[in-house]
Amino acid sequence: MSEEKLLKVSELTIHYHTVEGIIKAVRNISLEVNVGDSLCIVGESGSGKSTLGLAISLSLPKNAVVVSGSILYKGRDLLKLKTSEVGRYRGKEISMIFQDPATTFNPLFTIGEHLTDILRHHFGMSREEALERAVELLKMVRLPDQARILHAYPHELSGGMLQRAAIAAALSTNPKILIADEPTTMLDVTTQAQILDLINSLKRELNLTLILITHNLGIAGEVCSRTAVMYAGTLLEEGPTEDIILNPLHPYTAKLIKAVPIITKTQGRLSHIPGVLPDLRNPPKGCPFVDRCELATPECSASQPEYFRVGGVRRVACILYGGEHE
Amino acid sequence: MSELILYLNIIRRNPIYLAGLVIVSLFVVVGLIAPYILTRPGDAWGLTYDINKRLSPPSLEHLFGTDEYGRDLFNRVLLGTRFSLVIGVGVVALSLAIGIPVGLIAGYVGGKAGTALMRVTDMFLAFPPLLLAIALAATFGRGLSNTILALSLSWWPWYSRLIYLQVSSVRNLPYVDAAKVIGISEARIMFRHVLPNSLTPVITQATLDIGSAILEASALSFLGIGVPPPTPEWGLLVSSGWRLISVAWWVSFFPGLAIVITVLGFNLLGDAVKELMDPRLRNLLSMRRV
Amino acid sequence: MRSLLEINELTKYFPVKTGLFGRVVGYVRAVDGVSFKISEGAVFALVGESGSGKTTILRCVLRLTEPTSGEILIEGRNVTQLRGKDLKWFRRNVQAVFQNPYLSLNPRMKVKDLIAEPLKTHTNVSKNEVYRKVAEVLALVGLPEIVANQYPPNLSGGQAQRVAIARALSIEPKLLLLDEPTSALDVSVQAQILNLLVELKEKLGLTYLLVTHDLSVVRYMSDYIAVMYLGKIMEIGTAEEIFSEPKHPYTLALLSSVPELNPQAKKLKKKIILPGEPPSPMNPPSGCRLSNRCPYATKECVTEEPKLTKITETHYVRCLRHEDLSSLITREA
Repeated sequence: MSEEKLLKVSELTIHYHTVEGIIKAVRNISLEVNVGDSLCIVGESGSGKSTLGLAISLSLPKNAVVVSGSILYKGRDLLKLKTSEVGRYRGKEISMIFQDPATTFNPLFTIGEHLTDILRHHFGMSREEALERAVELLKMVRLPDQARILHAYPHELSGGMLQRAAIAAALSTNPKILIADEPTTMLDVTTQAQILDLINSLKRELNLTLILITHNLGIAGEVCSRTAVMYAGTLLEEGPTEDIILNPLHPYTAKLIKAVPIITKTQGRLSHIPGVLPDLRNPPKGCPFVDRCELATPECSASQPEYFRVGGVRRVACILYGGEHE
Repeated sequence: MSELILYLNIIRRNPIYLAGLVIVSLFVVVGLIAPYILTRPGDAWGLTYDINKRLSPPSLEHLFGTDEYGRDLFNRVLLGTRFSLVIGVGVVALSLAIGIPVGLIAGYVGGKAGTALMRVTDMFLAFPPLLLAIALAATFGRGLSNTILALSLSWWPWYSRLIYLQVSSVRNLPYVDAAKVIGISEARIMFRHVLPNSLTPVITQATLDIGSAILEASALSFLGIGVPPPTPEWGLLVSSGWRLISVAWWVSFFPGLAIVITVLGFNLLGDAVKELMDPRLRNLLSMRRV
Repeated sequence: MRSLLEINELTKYFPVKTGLFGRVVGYVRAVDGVSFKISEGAVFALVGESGSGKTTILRCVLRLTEPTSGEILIEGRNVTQLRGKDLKWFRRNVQAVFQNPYLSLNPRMKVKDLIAEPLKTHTNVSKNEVYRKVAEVLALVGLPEIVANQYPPNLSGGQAQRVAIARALSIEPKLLLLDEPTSALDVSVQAQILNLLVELKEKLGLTYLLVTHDLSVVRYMSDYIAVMYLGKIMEIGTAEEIFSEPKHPYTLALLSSVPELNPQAKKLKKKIILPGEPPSPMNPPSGCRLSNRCPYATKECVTEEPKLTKITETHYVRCLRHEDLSSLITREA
């Protein structure tokens, strides 16, 4: 590949140290993201998707330990930054929005104070310049009545408006990458549709590179061109979103898609995934899905399956697709 | 049971918490057995004296020295542990016994009775607690039970306030609604579902408060309105040696040291309890699946 | 079939008070004249977003909130007036499962004690009998007996919700109210719980009132659907009618805002994104409640409050322009 990747995650492994033991949240994950890509990371709770997002945005909690691997941003390893350099990347080059937009804002400050603080801190703008830019940002996320919103405190805004404001704050530093962690999970469906629509247009207008983290495959289909499916800390398969939804390769993905009730037709029993997530303190040696997979063979529990290339643009960690190694 | 092991593990790993646990355990054990291990019970209870030995400095025979009546201070401080234990636990228990029902009824039943109860609570809260305790102790007169009563009456409103706030939020949780839907009686909902889930911050506070109660009781004794002499209560011992501090430092020093160490122990343990009751730890606990 | 639950002109207004003196300055009209019937054995879904009043209706039916006016009848008996023995009868026959099992199960009680509680309240079984019955209902919801000795926080989300279902069903109610029963759960677990609910309904002849914002869940298990917006029913009908021939712009918007899994179906689907957010139920817009967000609103929509209009025997819609709607949409597409 001639051009350099914007983001390259290689063999990343992250553990959490807790009183209950060491939780192996992310295990040996590799990913690449190009400029202008939109990648969706899909997984259920305990899949490690949020930990991966926090690692890329340099916001891991204190009890998280990066055991191995690297996160190269424009060729620079974010995990090897000096403390003094972190501020140049976190929130600046790579921004993040969360499920609950209220966590982005301190309840004691107005939206205007937040936005102007960020702008003055990162760009050394004067108060007036910052205010002007803040109004522009609020317009960009299509919030009406910007003057009122600048003076509003977070609790005075509805969930949808606050999430828009959080997007404005995240984009205020002109980041190259926006990481959105379940940005619509707490919102009503019609508001969710608005926010997804907004994210889609901003992606086009600003040529933003987007990493969307969600449990909802439908959202992946609405927003992202590529999708990575995670389970129990590992990445099971990756490829164009449409291919993954229409023709899932990994047995887990196939089951997950079948478990979602479809709105366009009536149906009999939903197929569900029997069993439970493996204990992340002591995950299985082989494929993490082995205990719940109908197609599992003894080979599956022996060692973690390698990635196999399928059709050039897809890869899957399942021995069913053995033959063409990556 | 596994929770208890986890708690002990957390305490064991933190030397500060461990120190708290050791001090408090020692205090409780000594408090319980003190009357039976005295080498000079007469001195300890203040029934005997030996003028010839008055104000002898610490020595092998008298580890903490003797007081102005020649009584062995080590024995007196040792027995004082029991009084402090009775006072600390007594004050907190009595305060809880008044504060919890008041807060629970005000928070769960509410209505006019609830409002009235909280008004009374607020009235008490308007006075600085130590000042109120001094006023009450002066009115009741000296004595162990009067001291406990005076301190408890100045303290219960803090617990009733704390319980009230907890109950007011817990009563709106879905499991209370679920209990109502099932048709469980209000009394059972209150005692089985609301109260146990409202106690956490009170337990933390009560642990810290045993230390403070000991300190305040000593203050009352020091002021001459607490336990009467010749009871070997620590505050009283400090006060009796105060005039002599320049000639016989040990008379005030050892009981004072006992107070400081004990209060410190309860504070450290209180910190540990606070961490053990932290909802984040609960979350970690809840990550254990069947 | 006779109705098990009948709701007539139910309203619930919450007074809004000013801070200092508690003067009432207005009312939140959370539920505003809602009527519907559920026949025995049916699954009736109340669908709406936050502020639609669906949860308030559920709380009124469960007697967790007193309605301002209107009637709630269970087998013809007025729920709000039940006392003593009748109230006990009502509690035994109307049970509920709530959204988040970790919040709806007391974290400090063992599963067996949680399930024993309704049994002890409503039946005269002996102590041994109670725990045998606990094991029985646990088996009914597909849980192993060892779960009985666990505390809810130590269970997985799916297991905990099964316990909540077991608890509600232990006293064999007729009507089960489901308040967003799967929205706190993972997708694969949601499927398990939905299947279980459908199975149990068939096995035990239950009637469900389902309250949810998730249309795919509604589609999967409901026979009748009422779509609510700002305290009023906008459209009501059989599941087939609502999903195949929606007549209200709000229903259309709800349907089109569900993220579509199938990329091909998505291209065919017309998206209606409603602008803005629901206004405060304290002062809803004049005329039709959707008028300030509806892409098809006319002047009349702002001035005239539409009535529920009959389309078929089972299908009613509250929209002045429902007859024009289909042509409006095809013209745009």
